[in-house]
Amino acid sequence: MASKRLVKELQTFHRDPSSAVLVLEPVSDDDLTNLRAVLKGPDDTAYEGGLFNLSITIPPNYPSTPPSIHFLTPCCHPNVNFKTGEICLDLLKTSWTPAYGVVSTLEAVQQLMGAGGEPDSPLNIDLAKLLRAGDLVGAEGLVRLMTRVHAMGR
Amino acid sequence: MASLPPRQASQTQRTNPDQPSNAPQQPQSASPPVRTRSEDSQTLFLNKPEEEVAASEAIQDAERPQESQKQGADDDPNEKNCWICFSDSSEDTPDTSPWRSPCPCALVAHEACLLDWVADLEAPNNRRRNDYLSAPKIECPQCKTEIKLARPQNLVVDAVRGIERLGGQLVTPGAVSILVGTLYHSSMAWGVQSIYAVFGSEDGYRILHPLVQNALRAPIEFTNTMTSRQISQEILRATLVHLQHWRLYIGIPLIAPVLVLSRTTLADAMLPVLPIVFFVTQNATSPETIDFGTWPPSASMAFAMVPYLRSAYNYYYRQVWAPKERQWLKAIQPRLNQDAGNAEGGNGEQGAAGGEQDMGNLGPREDDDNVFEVRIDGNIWEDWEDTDDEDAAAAQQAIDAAIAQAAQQPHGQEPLGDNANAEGAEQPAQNPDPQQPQQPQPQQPAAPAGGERRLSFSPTAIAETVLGALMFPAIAGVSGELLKFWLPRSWTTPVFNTPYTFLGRRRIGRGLLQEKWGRSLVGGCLFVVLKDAVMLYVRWKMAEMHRKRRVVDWNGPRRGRA
Repeated sequence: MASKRLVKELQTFHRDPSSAVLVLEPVSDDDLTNLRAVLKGPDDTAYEGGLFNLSITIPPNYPSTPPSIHFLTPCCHPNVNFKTGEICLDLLKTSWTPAYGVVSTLEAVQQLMGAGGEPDSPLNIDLAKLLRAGDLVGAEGLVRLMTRVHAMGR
Repeated sequence: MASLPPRQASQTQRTNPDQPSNAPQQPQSASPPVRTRSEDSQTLFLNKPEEEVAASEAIQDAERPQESQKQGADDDPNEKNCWICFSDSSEDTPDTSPWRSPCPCALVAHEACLLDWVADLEAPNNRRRNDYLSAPKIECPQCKTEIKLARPQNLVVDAVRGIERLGGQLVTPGAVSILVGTLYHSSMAWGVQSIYAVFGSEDGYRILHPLVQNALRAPIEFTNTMTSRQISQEILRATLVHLQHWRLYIGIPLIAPVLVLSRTTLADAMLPVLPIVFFVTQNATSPETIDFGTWPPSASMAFAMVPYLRSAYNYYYRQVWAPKERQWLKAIQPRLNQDAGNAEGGNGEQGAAGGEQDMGNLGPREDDDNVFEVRIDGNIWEDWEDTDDEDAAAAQQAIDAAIAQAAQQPHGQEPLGDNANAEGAEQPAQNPDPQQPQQPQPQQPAAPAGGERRLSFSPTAIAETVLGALMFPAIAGVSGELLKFWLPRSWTTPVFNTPYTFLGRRRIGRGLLQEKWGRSLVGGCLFVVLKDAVMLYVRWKMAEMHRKRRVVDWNGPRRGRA
């Protein structure tokens, strides 16, 4: 069921692309369970202009269990591990339902970036510390710098 | 974990916010994509509202004729789209499972898809929920209506699953109670041993024999001829027999924990309260124990006094000896921050050598060794002293037990702890420090405090403290026996005045030392005092010797003086 549904999702994505997800394609043609995506940094945020590569692994019992998604491009965000790219988002863990798809999950990740995240359950301690200390200017500057260094200019 | 409102995710799929969104997938296929241009001149595909769709349908058909057929199918209002496998009803084959609509909203799905999803939710090893013991909630992701499944019922399956669930919930309490039971019985065994150590075999057995009797009592046998009334009477009687000696069952296992606890500062606040508790709860039937005026005091009385004795001794030690001890300790510290006065020779040399790396290394190494030794010594002392405290507590527990028995046997055998020694408990902490200084080390002037802390908190020290505390009753008992050899026989031999009374054999003692418990008590106290005295002497002597150290000049021929 997983691959059949994935084919559907990819067809739908090609017919009806998302403004957040610029690329969504299998890493290789014969394996649908490893996908790569390019996510656009949300406009009017410190991530604007950045293009983030993500790797998506589809579990065998998809869609009953969520896909595992992590950033390949370093993403400076309180709920994203800067080194491993792990994303702390309940949609990817407990609150997943089969009604979501890969594209809508990626859009949720983009929304997480735009919403600024939740510094109380951080994967990026340094940034979360800045945010919790109320240094919004410093945090935004750091994010902007990291986006420019890692996610722009290629 | 960051969370987003669940629906938001699917709403953002539509770049047009006006688009009504019900099921996340449904609208996607229902409205055809339209090519448009956005402000930033990026080419985007937007879903237009229905009216615009109609207007642009002609263009779209012209542009993408190959898709128009498919669009037509999607527009069919009878079209169903499974929200789990995303396939629609146009793809149905005879093998496809029937469509189900389990909730009031627009989400429909194949029955097989729903059942797969439910099976995954219920899989015990794949639970993403926290409360894995209760059944997971199966609800529509859109409208949160509970999705109901008609399941065949089977009493046996339900019963077994219920038992399994109950068993899962009982694992933790079961493990805890086994652990507690183990601890209780080991404490009980240890408490029995310490009672024998302090009271000797005869008095100890008198204290403990209810335990033995109860342990060996035959279980109640229920026969068919017994009425329920008889049964309940039997049970009541057995319970009462145990309850009668509740002090034994509570007090004896408490000896060990209280001994260990009393090594901490907690004991300072707690121990003086215990005698009061003891006197308040004791049976009115043992008037002897409240008799303050007689000599020798009853065992209960003697042991009840131990905590106060300990406090008094500790106070005396702190007031009189602790400052001197600290001074002596300081004298053997390297004179990092102190006057050169006391360490003229050796320390000066070491200080000069400080530049050399060899010396530097040597210092720390020696330090470590010393610390280790010190720890052992200091801990043992600490333990002993602590044990005194513990003994006091234990003694009180024992006293309780003894008092309970006293009703039957007029000579309440009071369990003796060498509680008097408990007073030393606070001193040991200070003792270890002095030993460290033996070898002038790069230690900081605050070494005494640091040393104490190290002693108290290193795992080895804690283990040694506990062991020492637990050993104290035996030490007190042995010291008490040693008294026999040093004291006149008449002091330590009981005199039987009126051999038998109706309550049993009664001894009229002239002194504490005629009873085993009394010797243990006094021996324990003497042990602590003696130990403190020796430690103080060693410290004083060390300080003095430290002052008299000299570096020996080289007497042989000199090299390198070319």
